[in-house]
Amino acid sequence: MHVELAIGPLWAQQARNTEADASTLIAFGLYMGGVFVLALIAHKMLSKREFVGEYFLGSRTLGVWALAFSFAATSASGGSFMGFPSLIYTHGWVLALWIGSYMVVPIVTMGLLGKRLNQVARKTNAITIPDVLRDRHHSHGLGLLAMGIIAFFMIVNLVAQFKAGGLILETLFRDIPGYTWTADNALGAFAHAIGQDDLGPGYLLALLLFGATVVAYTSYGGFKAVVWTDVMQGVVMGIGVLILLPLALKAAGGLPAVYDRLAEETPSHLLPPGTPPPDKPDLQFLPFSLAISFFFMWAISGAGQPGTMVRLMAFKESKTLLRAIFTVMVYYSCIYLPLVVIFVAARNIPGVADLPPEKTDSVMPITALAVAPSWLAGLLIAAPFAAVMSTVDSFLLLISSNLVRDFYQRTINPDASERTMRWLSVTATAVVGMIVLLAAMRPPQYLQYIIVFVGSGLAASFLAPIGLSIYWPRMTRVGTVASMLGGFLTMLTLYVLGWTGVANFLEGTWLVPLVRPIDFAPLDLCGLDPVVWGLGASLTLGVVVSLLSGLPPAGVVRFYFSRPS
Amino acid sequence: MSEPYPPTDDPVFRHARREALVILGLWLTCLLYTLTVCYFWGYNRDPATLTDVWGIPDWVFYGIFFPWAFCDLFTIWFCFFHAKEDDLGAGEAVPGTTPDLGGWADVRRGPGSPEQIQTNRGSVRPGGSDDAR
Repeated sequence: MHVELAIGPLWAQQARNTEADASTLIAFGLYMGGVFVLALIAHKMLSKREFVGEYFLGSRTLGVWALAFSFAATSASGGSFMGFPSLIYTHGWVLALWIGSYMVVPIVTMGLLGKRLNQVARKTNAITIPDVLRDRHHSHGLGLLAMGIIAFFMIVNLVAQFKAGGLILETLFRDIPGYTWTADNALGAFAHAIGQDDLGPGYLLALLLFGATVVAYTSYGGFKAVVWTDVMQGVVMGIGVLILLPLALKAAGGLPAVYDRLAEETPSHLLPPGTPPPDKPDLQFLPFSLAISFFFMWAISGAGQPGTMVRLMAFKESKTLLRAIFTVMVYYSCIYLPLVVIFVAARNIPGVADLPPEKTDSVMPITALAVAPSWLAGLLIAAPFAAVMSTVDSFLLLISSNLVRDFYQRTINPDASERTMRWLSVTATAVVGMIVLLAAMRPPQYLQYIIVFVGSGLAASFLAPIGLSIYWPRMTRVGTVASMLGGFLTMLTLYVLGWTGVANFLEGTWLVPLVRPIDFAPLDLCGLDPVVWGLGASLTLGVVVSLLSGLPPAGVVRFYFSRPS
Repeated sequence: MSEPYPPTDDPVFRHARREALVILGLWLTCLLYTLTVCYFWGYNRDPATLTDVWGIPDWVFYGIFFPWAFCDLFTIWFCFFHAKEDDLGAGEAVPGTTPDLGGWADVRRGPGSPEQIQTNRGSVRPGGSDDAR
């Protein structure tokens, strides 16, 4: 953790460092203790219910708080507490527009599919998203296709998320006495042997701690452990932000004072498209076309995530869903707009106002240390770690359910015993986690782009197929395959075109107004993010191909769409 | 040769579809309102003409905070007064009611699960509802 504040004499900084180190350790220790207690309780419950349904879906018994916080915490990744505050601090009020579509995210992502998806899943006792598609269209092949696409995206994403977890943990521990020494001695030679000199042994040790913890409690406790730890993580994040808001405003002298200072010194912090990065003065931070894309990316694509959909199959009754939407609405309103206010106000907080660009990723702990008591700073420093952890554990379980439930049980051995399924589920979760952990030792660069690519790709591949399958009786098997592949391939094509730079010669035309000045960026056709095109292609193909491919069997339509006899 | 096309009168399906359309309408309204206000009041604005509401730039206050408050009120109305609290079913398939998967093997959804679909023998008709009756 970086706490080198440019305020006060050196001794004050050192005292602050020591306090922060102690509070970080205490907060982290308490947090880890809580995680393992919850995993232990969840594991005990596994022996009392049918194993597969309990391990992967919590036996469809999620209540309001569990559903709401598990949903909110899984959606909020580490970026919400590291990258997002840094962007607000750097670019100003335009981040309110960047995150603006979160005003409808709770109701859209949970309400659009929630009730109907839960009902459809109950009809056939479906436990995973491939289950739902396989049953709805009577096709093993479709189930396997869905399984393959989920596995592809999830494994790519997990490596990126593990890297994020390792980096955050290293940031937390970096300045703790003995950490660097331990890492150098224990893993220095290994880091050199695998060619990991850039991130170094400190990262490897943090990655091992992070990976071992997540893999252990997820494989041991299953879905319930994931959900309960999500609730705890969501509470940690929420309380931290709500306490920080008044403290930051008080330290900044109130919002009007912040406004006056920005208007005088950096008016670009008050207006879109936001302040350009110092090293790229010509870059528009948020061009208007990207602002349009964000309404699709956050709200609509959020509804299309298999990890979200699984939670929507797990709640107890429709009343639970409605109360949970309300709870998430309150939670998001209390988190995201206050975050914008806090880190705009940080520009007027002594000691935080003029951070150099390389320090802005740590603006949250720096602000917390500047305005809050050290115990609260410890809590806030644990928040990004909690956010990454709650995202990773859900994805890990999604992959193992893919392998064990969708591939092994439903395709290879439908007669697998309870004992076999229990052993396989725990082993698969642990093995997948270990493989991803090994891959993350040599992680890919461009973390944020990979995470966005995965989220967008999953939405383009699953939102229209699932949405049309549950709401449109006319949707056919062929239409579903076309919709899924159409969305997937559109996304893949636009990313490949962007990465290879093949279409760069079109820059400046209406077709490609701007090529993002980053190697790994996708091609923004007509200035719109690929997710808009992927969702559009998937929806169009699903409808057109279904209409061209004849009526679906009447028995299927009756089973899913007619009043039960 | 084919059975008559069945009615789509499941009440949960109808309620859920209607609620989904309301939600899509809200999303579209917010998209149009927010982007319109932010485009005309925010993009290409002369900073000298900018005003604030309680320290918040006017385009942020009217373009984002205001519709955000509206969405929160709408969500309260939707969750507590509009959406139906439907019975979603038991969560366990009734024996014989699950459709034929037409796949490669007998498929049994989970050990202990009551349903068994015998695809190879073809004893369960598509839709399976005849067996259920």
